[in-house]
Amino acid sequence: MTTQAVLVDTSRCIGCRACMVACKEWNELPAEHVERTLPGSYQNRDDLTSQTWTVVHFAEQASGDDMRWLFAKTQCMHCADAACVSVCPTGAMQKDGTLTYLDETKCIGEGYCVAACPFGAVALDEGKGIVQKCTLCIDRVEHGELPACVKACPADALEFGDRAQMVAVAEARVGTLKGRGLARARTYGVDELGGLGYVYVLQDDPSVYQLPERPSARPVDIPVQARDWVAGAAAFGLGAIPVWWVFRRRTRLASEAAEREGEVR
Amino acid sequence: MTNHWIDFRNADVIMINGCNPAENHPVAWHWIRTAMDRGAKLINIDPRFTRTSSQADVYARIRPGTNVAFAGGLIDHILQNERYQKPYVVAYTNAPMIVDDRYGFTDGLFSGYDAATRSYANATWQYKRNADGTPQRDDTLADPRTVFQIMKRHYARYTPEMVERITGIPKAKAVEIYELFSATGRPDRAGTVLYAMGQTQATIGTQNIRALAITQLLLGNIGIAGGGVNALRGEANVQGATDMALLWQDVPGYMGIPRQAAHPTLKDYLAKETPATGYWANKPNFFVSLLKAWWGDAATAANDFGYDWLPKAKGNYSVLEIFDSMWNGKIKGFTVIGENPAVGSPNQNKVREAMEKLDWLVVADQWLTETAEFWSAKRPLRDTAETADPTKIGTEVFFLPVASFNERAGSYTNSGRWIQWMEKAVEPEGDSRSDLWIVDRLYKELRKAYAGSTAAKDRGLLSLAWDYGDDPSFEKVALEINGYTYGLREPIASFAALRADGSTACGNWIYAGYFQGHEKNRAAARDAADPGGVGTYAGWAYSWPVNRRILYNRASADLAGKPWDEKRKVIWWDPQGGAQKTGSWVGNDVPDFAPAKAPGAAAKPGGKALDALAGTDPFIMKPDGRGWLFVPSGLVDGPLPEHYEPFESPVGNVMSPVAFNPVSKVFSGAADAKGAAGDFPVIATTFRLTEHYQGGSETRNRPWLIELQPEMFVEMSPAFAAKRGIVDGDRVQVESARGSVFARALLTERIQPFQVNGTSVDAVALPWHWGFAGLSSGHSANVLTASIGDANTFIQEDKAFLVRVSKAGPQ
Amino acid sequence: MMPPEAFGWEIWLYFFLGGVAGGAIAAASIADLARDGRERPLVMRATLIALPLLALSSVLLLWDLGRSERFLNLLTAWRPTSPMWWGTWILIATSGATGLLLLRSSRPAARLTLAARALLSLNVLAATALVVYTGVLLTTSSRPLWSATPLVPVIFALSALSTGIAALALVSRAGPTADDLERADTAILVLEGAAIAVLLAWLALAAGPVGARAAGVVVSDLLVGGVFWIGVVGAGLLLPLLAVLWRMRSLTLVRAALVLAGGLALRFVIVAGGQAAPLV
Repeated sequence: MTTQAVLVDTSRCIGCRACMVACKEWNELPAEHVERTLPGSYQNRDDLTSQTWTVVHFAEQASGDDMRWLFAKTQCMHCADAACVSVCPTGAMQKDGTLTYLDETKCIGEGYCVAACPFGAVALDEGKGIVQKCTLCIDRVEHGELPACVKACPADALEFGDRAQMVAVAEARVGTLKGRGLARARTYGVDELGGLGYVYVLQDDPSVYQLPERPSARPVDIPVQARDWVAGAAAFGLGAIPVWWVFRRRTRLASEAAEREGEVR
Repeated sequence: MTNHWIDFRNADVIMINGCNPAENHPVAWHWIRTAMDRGAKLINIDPRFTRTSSQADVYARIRPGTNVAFAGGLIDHILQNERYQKPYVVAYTNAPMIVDDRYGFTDGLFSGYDAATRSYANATWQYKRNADGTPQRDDTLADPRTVFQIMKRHYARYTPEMVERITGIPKAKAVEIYELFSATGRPDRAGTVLYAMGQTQATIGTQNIRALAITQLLLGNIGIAGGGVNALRGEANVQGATDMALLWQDVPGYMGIPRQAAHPTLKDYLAKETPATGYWANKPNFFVSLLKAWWGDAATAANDFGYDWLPKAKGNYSVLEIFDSMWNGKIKGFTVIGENPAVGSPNQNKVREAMEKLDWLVVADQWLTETAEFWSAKRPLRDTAETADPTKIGTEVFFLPVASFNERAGSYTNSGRWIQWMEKAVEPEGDSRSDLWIVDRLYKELRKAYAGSTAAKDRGLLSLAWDYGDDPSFEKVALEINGYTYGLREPIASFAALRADGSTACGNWIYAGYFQGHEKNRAAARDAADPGGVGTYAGWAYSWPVNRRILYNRASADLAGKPWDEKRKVIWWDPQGGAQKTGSWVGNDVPDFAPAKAPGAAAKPGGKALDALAGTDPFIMKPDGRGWLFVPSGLVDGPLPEHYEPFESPVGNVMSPVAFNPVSKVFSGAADAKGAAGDFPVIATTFRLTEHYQGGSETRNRPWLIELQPEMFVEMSPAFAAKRGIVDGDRVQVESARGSVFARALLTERIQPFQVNGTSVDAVALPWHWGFAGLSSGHSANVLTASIGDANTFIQEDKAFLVRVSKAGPQ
Repeated sequence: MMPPEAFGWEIWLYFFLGGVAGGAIAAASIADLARDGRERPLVMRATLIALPLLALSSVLLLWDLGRSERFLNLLTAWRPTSPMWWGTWILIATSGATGLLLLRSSRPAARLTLAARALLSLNVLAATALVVYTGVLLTTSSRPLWSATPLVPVIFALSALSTGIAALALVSRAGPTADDLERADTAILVLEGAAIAVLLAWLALAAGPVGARAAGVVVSDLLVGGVFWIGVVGAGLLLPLLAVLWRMRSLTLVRAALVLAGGLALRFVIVAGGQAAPLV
């Protein structure tokens, strides 16, 4: 069972994107042609795809003479309460400890997990007919190696280890940042969705890094799912009332007419 | 570097000025990060806000080309506020030396300037000497003619107000940085300076670095752990190339190339180029051993070891000169190995048009670079929508495919002077061959072609000692570079074994000891132990000279031989040390000093070489053993750094009437137009990206990297763009007096106008990686730059020039 | 952060076809129950509409799969947390229940046996499940347009009924049954319109900036917004309601066609619109 998590300390990230290339290289993913990078940015795309499993976000903040340039890598978050696992109709998407693992032999490629993921981290591969996402490099980890991105990072921004340990380090680092005056520094992924397999140190609010402030837990919320059933059924029932009423009325009118006819005779 | 990569982790303050390690040396960034984790502060000075800036504690935006002004302010701050490490400065630098009475500096010029030849005679920059030849000194530093007082007067002109006027950095910010960095003047504090092209690629590039050296000497930061003046070299083995005489004016090991006029014979060369004192007094050993390595048996005392066969310099052969000569039709043949001048050299229209005049061109490279394809229809022509027409170009072009770096063995010398051996990993593809094989074959074919010749001019070529095997062996070459005794052919362990009598041969004296045979390949050593904890890792690879990691490390100890800083000690004097137990220098590094010379040892009167230096003279390569704050000889454009504007500048020089470096050569052909500020009001600078590399052939052919940075662009501020009706993504035209490029506009607040002398001057920045060849092609920023460079090294001034920018239509 | 596309044209077309099938079966069954078996011909017509649509739906869903040959994986797994897993069984069950209706005669009767009542009720339940599960499938996701409110199953339910009834109107001769169908449809269209309005208002006002952006896509995106205003609102709601107000009896077929077009447009707007808004 996988017990490790990745620590992403964005305060140490230098936006070099070695992680993006390492991921492509290890997983033999082709480059995807982009016409140009995003407006005013070095960031080359703002989405994850079946062939780009991690992307680094670039955020520039200019205020007066002060300038900040923030970077954050995003990918499948390997959520404890994984939406993709909950909605997968074949059981291909599974949890194994911290890892959210796709059994590529079971996936039928209907794409429900794609819709469920609050991070947009899973995508359908047209050619393979199945979905693809960050694998936490389980094929490396199970042989005692570091995930490719962690191995490649030159800035000591990525670490890999026992999740509790990564959380402790993240919290300590946030303490240091706050001590330096970064009031909005915080962790991300410690408790969200039951705890993510990627634990972040952020220097600002999650939305600055294009991360959802409160990632949607809808897909794993079974009581709410039941509520939606009730709402739909109630609406169907509501809509059935006019149908019943007009047809029943004709029946009633007909039988009243028949009765009156019977009376007349 | 005086220090090395890992040593950065020892610093208390790291000043990153004129380089961008987070983007361009990301692997080395780890050591900077380590320092920061230990509490070090990061200062970043750059015209743009870069990925390095995003990590800095203090960032200052500096106008390109004004580094001397900024450093001058720092020097002034150190001197006025007495932040210098006084005992170090008095004993280890030439601060107390007294300079010639005739020395002067007036109206922007040092004494000895000849306007007609645009050159200096340095007679008035020399020390005043005692009768016995030793320099006169005032150790109290009070004499107005001391180097110290001269410097104090010179840099008093660089007040914070003046610094702000010139650099655009608000004086409060400048002073904040000066305070932060000058706090490392304490003996128990270490500050390091990192630089690269941002400082060197200027007409005053050498003086930029000199200003850093002065700063570090004043603060006692040379020779210590966590200190130094550290260049971040731009390629994996450019340090190795430089060591082997990358610059035309050197021969391997940083000796000067013999010149026809001054050195007609070996005797002339050795007499004029060998100082009597300091370690360079041993130059004849190195030079003669070099000749012996080249000509082997044919080099004897009788024929001056083949000196007459050596081509002598009769002029200037820098890249700027080469292309100027080529453009004037004087160069017929051109061989380019592993370089892409058709993207990397300045004034690209001149370069590419010059190449059209060649009879033949040989390009040896892994890729079909712009240089290899300068003739093709891919190349855009100057200022038109047309492209080159191969039918109109008569050059015969040969392309030799070269094996990749991992397809052959060899050594790499990194910025820290560490020579690391790499083995061959895979066989080369197809017909590609290593550079060694190509050069070896070239020589063998030439030797065959000239075999029957009896002409005197061909003797040198035919007499070369050339035996590296049928399939040339890297190890044989390495052995020659290392040096060996000629009789027994035994590898030497150090250049101390070299002689000037033909009994030793050595391809590069500073490398002596690195490769003493297959079994004793010290460049292949991989011992990761660091017993002293200062990161010297003496068992990992081999650093020149003789595995010294921190140069001038005698200066890490005080006059009594005790470390200035116990926490970061490098070497120290052990009175019972050494084989004879009579005392030696010991510690965490190889002493850059005579190992048995006591700290209190006096200089021998009339002594030669190191005997002329005392036990307190750490700078053993200098004739006076001192670190030179003031440079009496060796630099052509002044003993002290002085601010001049770049060749193309939007403003005049407020420090003096001299506009730009008075010694830099100005080319004035038809391809060398100079832009006036009225026509080209925007300051432009060039930069590098993490995702692309140099001239781009290696990275603009890699889909994963193109995916990250797909096209040529120009960075500008949103306000700048708005004034010109440009929105992000628009195709824009950037023009200089020499040519124009089209690029995509990238609007960012990381570029801002500069406040120059009270006026706001706009600025743009361009990456210079693109060219017309490759999977991802685009226009080359160097179309815009000028054929002008530093007066000493001739490196091109790419970091500051003038342009104008306008919105262009779609392609 | 733009989300990757999960559901393509096969899915919104399936939602429409399944909605028509379920709505037709449910409406016809309810009518027959209300009329004690006198609407057996209507039920047969509904069955003959629904079964081919359900078959076509199955083909569409299989076609949509990246690995169609692995469809049995849906049936060999136990995934009760997944609305799509439930839907697989519901589709099978509904097809079965509807198929059973073929066993009945198509001549009107005057009373309903207990078995007939049970069968009709079963079909109403199955149709409800078939229609509602598609809505729950969408709400159980992270696309704000779908998941920020419980309105999608509500809208799908009402739209299924209105399009199912419209399909029945297309195949019913003029007469009292057709009139009744039209009256019921009018009421349902009003409810449907109200539900769509509530969805947009809820997203715009009570679901944060992400919800507001999602609503914005529906009403102002070039393609999605265009289809929304012209297809969903214009063709699907306003024109059919206006036709009733103006009592254009002769336009019954046109009216039915408009409602169907509106229903198709609605599925497109919800599915495509939900995937066109950023996640953050």
